Amino acid sequence: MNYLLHLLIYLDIYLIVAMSLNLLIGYGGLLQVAHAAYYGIGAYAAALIMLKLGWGFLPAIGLAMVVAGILSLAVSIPAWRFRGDYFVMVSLAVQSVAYSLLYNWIDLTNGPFGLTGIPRPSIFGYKFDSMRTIALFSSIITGICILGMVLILRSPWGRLLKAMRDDELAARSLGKNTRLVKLQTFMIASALAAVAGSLYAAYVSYIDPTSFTLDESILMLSMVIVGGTGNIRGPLVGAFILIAIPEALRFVQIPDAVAANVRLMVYGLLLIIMAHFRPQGLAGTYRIQ
Amino acid sequence: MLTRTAVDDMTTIRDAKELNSVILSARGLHKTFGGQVVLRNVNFNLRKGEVVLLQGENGSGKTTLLNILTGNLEPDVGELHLSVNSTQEVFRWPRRWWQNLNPFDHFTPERIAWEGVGRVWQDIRLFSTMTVLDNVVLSSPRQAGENPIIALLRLGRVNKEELYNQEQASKWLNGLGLGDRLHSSCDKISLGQMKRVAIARAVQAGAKILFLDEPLSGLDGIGVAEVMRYLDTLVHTNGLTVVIVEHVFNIPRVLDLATTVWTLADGHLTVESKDKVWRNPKITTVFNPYDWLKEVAGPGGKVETQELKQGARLTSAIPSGTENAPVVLEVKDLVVRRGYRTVLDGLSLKLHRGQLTLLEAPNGWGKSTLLDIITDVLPLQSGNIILNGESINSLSTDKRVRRGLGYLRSRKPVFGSLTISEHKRLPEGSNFIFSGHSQDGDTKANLLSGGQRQKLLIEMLPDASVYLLDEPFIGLDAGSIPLLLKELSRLIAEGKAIMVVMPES
Repeated sequence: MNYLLHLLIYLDIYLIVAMSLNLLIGYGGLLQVAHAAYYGIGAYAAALIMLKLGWGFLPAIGLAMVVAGILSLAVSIPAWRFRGDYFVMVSLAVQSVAYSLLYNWIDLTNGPFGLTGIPRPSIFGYKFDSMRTIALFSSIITGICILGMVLILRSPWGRLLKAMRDDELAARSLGKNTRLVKLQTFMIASALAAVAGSLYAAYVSYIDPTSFTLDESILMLSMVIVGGTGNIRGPLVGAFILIAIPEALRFVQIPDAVAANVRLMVYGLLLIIMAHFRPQGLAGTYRIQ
Repeated sequence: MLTRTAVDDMTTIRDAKELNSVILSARGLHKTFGGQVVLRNVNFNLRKGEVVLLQGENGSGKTTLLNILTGNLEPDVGELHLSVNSTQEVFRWPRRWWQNLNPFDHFTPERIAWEGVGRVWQDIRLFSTMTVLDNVVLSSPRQAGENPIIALLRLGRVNKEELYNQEQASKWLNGLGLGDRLHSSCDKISLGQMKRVAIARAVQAGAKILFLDEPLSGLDGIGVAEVMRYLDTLVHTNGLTVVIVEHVFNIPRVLDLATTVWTLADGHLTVESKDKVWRNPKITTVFNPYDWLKEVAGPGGKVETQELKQGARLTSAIPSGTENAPVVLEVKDLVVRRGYRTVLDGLSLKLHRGQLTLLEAPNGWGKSTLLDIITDVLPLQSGNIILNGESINSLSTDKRVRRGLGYLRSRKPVFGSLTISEHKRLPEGSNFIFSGHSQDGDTKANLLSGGQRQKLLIEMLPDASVYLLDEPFIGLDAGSIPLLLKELSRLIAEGKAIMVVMPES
């Protein structure tokens, strides 16, 4: 039972991550590979706030969202000028810089040794310390995020985001400030990634930079591409599948030494198959250019 | 059709003083590209309620001027004065380096749009994944729901505003005869409908000056009438100021509405009276393809017309001696479906050696689709295509071209980073002796105007036995059309088969 609850918590965390990345890729047409960096920034920010300032979980999540939102300017401002492949390179640079900072800023992040003893979530004195309660808590947070995402994407803002994706110049010629929309999109997506990171930090109680590498960004990207972009369903399907694959592989007798590589090969194969047969993903509506 | 009482907030402009007020003026605009001067000391005043026809030869700088006036391009030198709203905005170039540091003082399309300047693009640029209604509602200015925080926290206010904007947009679209297409996806409507949606979108965005880049190109007769009727209503009822760039074929239609003509030549802009342009037969003589067909058929030849399904017409010029010429291209029982809709239902046609065939059909008939299928740009679903006696159903595009098919896909992009000379070396052998370039061969294709690109596409046509030309005259200036007609006549005399596809006039 605990194993299933553990999977549910991980699924919740990645649902938020995939949904936030889909906001950038599927709705904004902004392909980036730095999402693990913002997931990590959220995790570290929430952990440090709880450990060093002694704040509760909810205020820590709130501040982590603000920190990630502000730091999203590192990718959103270049997005004003760069598009396509060049923008991917910019986001790759941001991912590398963020990872290096987490790894080398030892005074703050404790470098490769990571942060230990991160408290479990607690709200108004109630501590979520069993698997069952954490799973319930993470599902509620995920539900709120999905609801917020549905509302915002159905709003005129969501429509403007899609217009920018379809034809940015046409949107600008109608008087739409697409630079502002890009800033907002990156802020929302990064803040949501920070929510997922905070949940992750509070759940596992220990974080180190190796959880927020480029490989993690590629996993997140795979979830969005495999599941599909341009609607809410796609990333949910993608997160489910890519959480399920490694778990399924556990039941196949693969030596531990090669298990990680096999997992990466499976992701790669899946991406190739999707790109060839279903470029819009399993449940997506928008085809990534 | 939009009736003059259809839109509540339309205000009738009757004040002569207001009509004469200058709302946009340019002083000394100058622009060069790669050392080549495109605009030289351009000056003009645009008055409220004016309808301007902007004309010029290919490469004369019409699109460059349009790009500058809509904030898409900055001139090297000059001034623009905009006073559409109560305040006057002045933009001066060259700008000082420190002016560029101010993020709120940039010359951008959105800033010009806020000042009441709208643009309808030559390639329309609707948001194709959205419905017709959403395209127009989206363009409403100053929407509170475009702020994500308000969108989340003030749902009631956003919904109320959205309903109001939908009502306004529906009124425009109903008036345009698009009431039954409000919820159609924008990639599923005809070209004429797309152009009307684009105009409605710009007006909903609050445009008081509207720049239209070839609003009539590619439209059939019905589409042209619809767009012109709508523009007429906007100008006369709503007091909209309009600048239209239009292809030479459609200039007579625009002149009916125009009050002023701007002519660009050698980078200079001259303001001419409408009467003077009316007196120029080169401009106002409407190209009649049937006269051309008769000329190609020649004495002793004949012109035959065959009616096809859904309002299309196939007219062939059969010169004397080619009555029994062999069939070089045959299309048999072609069926094309797009989703649930059958576009072409059992179409059959034959092209004979040494004959010219004109296919005219309404927008949305599937003219370009037909040519794309014959050349395998789109896959064949059902039917048979025979070239020079052999089925080519299983051959790829390159193999079909090598077997003798030449295909002109008009308005398709050329290779921007290649020079004109490099383009000309791409085909294995070109039979077209058609040139109208003033640029030298080292000019890169991305510096060419729309008309010049069209000329380059024609020049690049490989040597072929059958030419399929999709709207070959589109974008060409008055001087280039006779040259192309002469060249096509020469090829027919050499025994080539040519099919020209055009919208129904």
